[in-house]
Amino acid sequence: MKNNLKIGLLIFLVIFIFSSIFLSSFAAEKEYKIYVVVHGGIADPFWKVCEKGALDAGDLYDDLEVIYTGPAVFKLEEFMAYVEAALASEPDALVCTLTAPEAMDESLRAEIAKGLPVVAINAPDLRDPEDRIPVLTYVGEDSYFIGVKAAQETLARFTPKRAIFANHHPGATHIEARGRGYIDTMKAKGVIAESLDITEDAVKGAEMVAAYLKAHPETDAIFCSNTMRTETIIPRLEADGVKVGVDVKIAQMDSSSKILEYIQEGKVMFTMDQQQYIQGYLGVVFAYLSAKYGYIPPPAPVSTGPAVITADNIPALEDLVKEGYR
Amino acid sequence: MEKSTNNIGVETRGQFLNFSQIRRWPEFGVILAFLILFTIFSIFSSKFLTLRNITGILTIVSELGIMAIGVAFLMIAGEFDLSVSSVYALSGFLFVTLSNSFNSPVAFIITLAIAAFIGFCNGMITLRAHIPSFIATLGMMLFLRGSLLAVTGGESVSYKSDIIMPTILTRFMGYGFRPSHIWFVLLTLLFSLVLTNTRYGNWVFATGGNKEVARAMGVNVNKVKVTNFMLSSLMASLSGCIVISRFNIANASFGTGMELEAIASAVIGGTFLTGGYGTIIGVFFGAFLMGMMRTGLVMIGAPAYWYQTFVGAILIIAATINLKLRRLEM
Repeated sequence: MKNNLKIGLLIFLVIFIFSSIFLSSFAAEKEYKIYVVVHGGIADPFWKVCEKGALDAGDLYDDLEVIYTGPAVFKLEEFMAYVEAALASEPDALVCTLTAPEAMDESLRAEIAKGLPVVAINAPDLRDPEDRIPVLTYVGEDSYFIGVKAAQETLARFTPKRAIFANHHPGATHIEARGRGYIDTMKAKGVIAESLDITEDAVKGAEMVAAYLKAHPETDAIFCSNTMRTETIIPRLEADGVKVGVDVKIAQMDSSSKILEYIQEGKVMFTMDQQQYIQGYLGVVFAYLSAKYGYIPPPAPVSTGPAVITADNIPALEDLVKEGYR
Repeated sequence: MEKSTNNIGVETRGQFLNFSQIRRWPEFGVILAFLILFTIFSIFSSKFLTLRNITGILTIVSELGIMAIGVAFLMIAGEFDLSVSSVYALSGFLFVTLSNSFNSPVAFIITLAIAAFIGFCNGMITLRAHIPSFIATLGMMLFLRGSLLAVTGGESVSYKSDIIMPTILTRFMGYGFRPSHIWFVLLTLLFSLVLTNTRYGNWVFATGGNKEVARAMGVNVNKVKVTNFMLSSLMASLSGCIVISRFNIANASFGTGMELEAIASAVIGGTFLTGGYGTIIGVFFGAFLMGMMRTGLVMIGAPAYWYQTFVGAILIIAATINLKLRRLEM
């Protein structure tokens, strides 16, 4: 028994160390290494599109290695740990979401001062201009405006009695800014509007929206901040007998095959498209060109949205969604 | 039985050590796993074994580890605390809000006092209502998290106060080191000493091992448990204050799922879920392993999806090895 344990542990050690050395010899060193760190979750269909953009950009250049990472589900502390790990790897450039600029300020500012090119994507630093982290540029949505635009598009179709912004990432400043844009615009038109925290869990989130509608049955407009959440909210509300698209009209962010179906069926009025493929793609291209040639990218914001997708746009988008570009 | 466990741990360190003795240490499994992974990551990534990276890992590990020490101390006494992650989030929020209104030292003291009270409530609910601590603290976890979400509406609160407590807790000291690293090491040593070299430590082992025997020995089991519940909450609160001092913002979602990471750190470090057995040094390495794995995987360029897979595998392997080591001891 004792000998078995000793031998087992020794074999374990030897296999691990030799396999490590063996495998590491295959890891061909590329000249430029760029980390792309997003707040996640990386398993979210939305982020798969961004990842494809980043990796496609990496494939453009033979001397470029792109490492894309982030937490499995949104968790700020874990995201920060990935940012720190990426910085500790001493990459040639970093592309990241500025999800919580206050929390990221200290680390990023120090590295930028040392000359690291940093490109922000998807989530901008929304603080006063003089307080912002001095990144090269920002590629992505104008968060507040996207909320304003979603409210305006809704109001152009009907005037809700009560509206909610369903926030799936409480703590993410850009998502909160979207909510503020939506709520401010609704309130300016006299509509009761508020933010509802639907948590990181899509299933729990659907339950929370269902409960909110029971407490406030006059609610007839929802702006949902995430595709996966809309995909769970609609069947959950229908299970309660709510006629989605009639009793409650939904607007939402980004697209997926299912969302396009819902738009065609009239269950989702429209979706705001922030074209996250471009965020990943241009983020990497700008970072690489800066690291290699010292090019300065276009100033922030390099806007990738909002585009509004309605039933009219679906024929052109269906295949692109399936291929992972939209 | 528990006394002998403790005695074995102390005696072995006083003698000449050979492999058969070393492998009987409760920390043996986790230290071995730690060394293996450390070697692998160092081979795969040339930047892994740098001061910058090691201090970066220590920052994450300290915050998880301080919480895990409290959780493990309570687990050794035979109880669970699932509310630590909510105490962590609540403490961060209280610390920021109170600091913005008063000053950071006062806010820190009030926050710790409230956390200790939550721990006291956990203990009293568990002991007086005879509800398993798993359920009592699960209830407290949901109650606190829900209340926090209701009060904040999911909005973040920014820290806009003095730098006294942030400097004491976590601001950079130089070369990448932070005070939180020192706090973690000091608290590990302190709790380890209390557990292995004091009468209270023996009471903790006895309480977690066999309550009736402990009572017969004159140990006030309930007092030990309530004290450990309070310590668990205090440590979670300290960890929350440290994180918020580093991030400068507090949010109700902070620390979600962290209670399981803390329990995993304790179990990987050799603490038994059944109580009566464990080591704080093991928890130190358990937390280190968890923090190191995330960073290491990113640095070797492995997809982040693998992190949970590795943690799960290591948890099962560690628990199995720990059980075998315990049998070897007996």
